[in-house]
Amino acid sequence: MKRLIMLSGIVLLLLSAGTGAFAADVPDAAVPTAVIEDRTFTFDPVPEGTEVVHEFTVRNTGTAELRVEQVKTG
Amino acid sequence: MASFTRSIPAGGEGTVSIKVYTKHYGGQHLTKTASVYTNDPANKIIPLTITGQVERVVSVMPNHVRLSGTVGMELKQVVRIVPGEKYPFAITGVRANQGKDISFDLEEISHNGRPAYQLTVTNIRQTPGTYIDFIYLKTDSTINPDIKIRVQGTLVSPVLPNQEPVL
Repeated sequence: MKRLIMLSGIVLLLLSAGTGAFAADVPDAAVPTAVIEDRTFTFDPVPEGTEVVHEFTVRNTGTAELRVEQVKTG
Repeated sequence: MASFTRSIPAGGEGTVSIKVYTKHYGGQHLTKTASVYTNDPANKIIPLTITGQVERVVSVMPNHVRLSGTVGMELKQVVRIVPGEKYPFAITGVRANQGKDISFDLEEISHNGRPAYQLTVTNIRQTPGTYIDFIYLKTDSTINPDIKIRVQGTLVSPVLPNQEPVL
């Protein structure tokens, strides 16, 4: 009986180790990662009527195409 | 208003361009926000902010004229035009859009030790009714070359005994 329990334990250990190894071999699904480092832009004082334009840089540090679907201004 | 790069490849870079209009924000600290919607599951909405001080180029007090009263009554209003401290200018011309119901007079004054202007608008209409006109001031300022002042007039007939006023 003891042998049987021990054997079952070893089998389970091997199985779980095998599963772990298998999981490690599967690559993660490709995902995009959007990075905008400076999310706030403070402009120098301007006279009323000036149009202030600023370009924020968006980097994609992920592994899939990053899509900017829309930009809502408020 | 915004424009942006719609597709950015892995490892690539794009831009989100935000344009902010500062008209009517003179003398205020302006803050505008934008939300960037992406297909990044961890950053579906990225908030952006543009903020800064907007300086007053001119003060027009009051910024519109109301002339209300009875026909025959003297109706006039004075408007002060004070250039912003950092943005001095001179008024080089003045005209009314229609000018049939109003007359105007512009004179240079001093406001807190700085050159300014005083515009007096007078009703010349002698019949009951309402009107709207605009006075345009032309300046030598490249930032603010035109100033528009709305003029609204409402004249009623003199009230006679046992009679309702007529518009």
